[in-house]
Amino acid sequence: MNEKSNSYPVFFMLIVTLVFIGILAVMYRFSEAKIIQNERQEYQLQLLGLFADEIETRGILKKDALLAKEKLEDNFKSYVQELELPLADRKAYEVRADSILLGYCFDVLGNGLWGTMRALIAIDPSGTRILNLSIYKQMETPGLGARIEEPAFRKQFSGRTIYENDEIREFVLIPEDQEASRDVEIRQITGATITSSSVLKMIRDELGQIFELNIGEEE
Amino acid sequence: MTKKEIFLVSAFRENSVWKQILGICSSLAVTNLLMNSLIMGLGVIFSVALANFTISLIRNWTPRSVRMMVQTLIIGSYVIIVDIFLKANMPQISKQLGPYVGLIITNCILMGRAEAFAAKNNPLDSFIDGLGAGIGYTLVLLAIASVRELFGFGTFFGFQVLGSWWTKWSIMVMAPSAFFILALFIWIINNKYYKVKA
Repeated sequence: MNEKSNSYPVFFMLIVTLVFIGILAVMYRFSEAKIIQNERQEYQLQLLGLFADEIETRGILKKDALLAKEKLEDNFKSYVQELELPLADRKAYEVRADSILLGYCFDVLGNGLWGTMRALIAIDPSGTRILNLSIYKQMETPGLGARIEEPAFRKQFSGRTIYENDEIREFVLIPEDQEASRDVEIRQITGATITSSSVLKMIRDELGQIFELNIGEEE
Repeated sequence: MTKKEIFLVSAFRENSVWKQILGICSSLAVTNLLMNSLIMGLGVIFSVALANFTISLIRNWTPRSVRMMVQTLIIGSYVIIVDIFLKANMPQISKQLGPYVGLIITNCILMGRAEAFAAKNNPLDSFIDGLGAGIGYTLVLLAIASVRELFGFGTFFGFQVLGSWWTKWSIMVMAPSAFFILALFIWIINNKYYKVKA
């Protein structure tokens, strides 16, 4: 084709696009299985990790053995069972060891500052106390809002009562350098007030919705 | 210019950040941790070097009217390759960098080098120029990040350097500190390296 003709740029662009889209498609195809596997493994690790202390203190399995990479898939299958949940895009799990109910785990979502975040919340068998919490997907600012993933922030929720007198309890934020003096106080992340309160809002809204379904109180 | 000169000019004398003031957005955003800065820098080195090489390779056939579209497409492709690679092989880092990897596409350094150098020079020189620009950018990122991480977290590449007596400066973790440090950094460079008189 003549380089001076009008259709040459269109033709050229088309060819270049096809070549590069092709390269990307091949590259993605080769990595796809690995990416999905990584995501699944990370998810199982997060979920089992929430119950790891519980399982270890009951003398069922050591934490390292429970979360070992090679055993993860099998352990997940033997301890965790998915429950039916009539809410779109949310999931519920029941965690059992030797037929003892250890608790429930809810996969919930909420809006952060930059985008959707997803969390796993572990609740005790009576459905009143948060055992553990993990935020496994978020798009918050690295170093600021993204610190909601760090233990210093999320461990604060462990052991807190969430359901009292048939109502969801509201948590309140306090500055990061203060000590929580009441059971409802959560130390926020400095420089990430919106993200911190988004987490509280997510917990309140999502668990409120789920508790209305009376899942945690069947036992 | 010799290959060595091309590299030195692109990495230092005409450094993209301190001389051309390009790529400031990401220099402010990801520099609160050294590890994030390093991976971001490596991503940029890879993308800018290979994008320069490719753009230069097809420069004689690229029609002027669509050359910027072609450049963006090529840059975008390499950045997505970096993104896929990180997702598959370094999921932790990929998670931490989040949207910033994708934003390498809009980093002005890449487009700048493509237009200013790769579109006019041969592929090998363009590759070296890209390498230099990327390394120059990475050095600035690391310099800013080392200050921010040290004062903000008391750590260096994640290792605890300052003890528990250290009060963490939360301003260092936040974006405003990067403005101050970048400005101070450019001031020092202008004074000591270019000997600019006020």
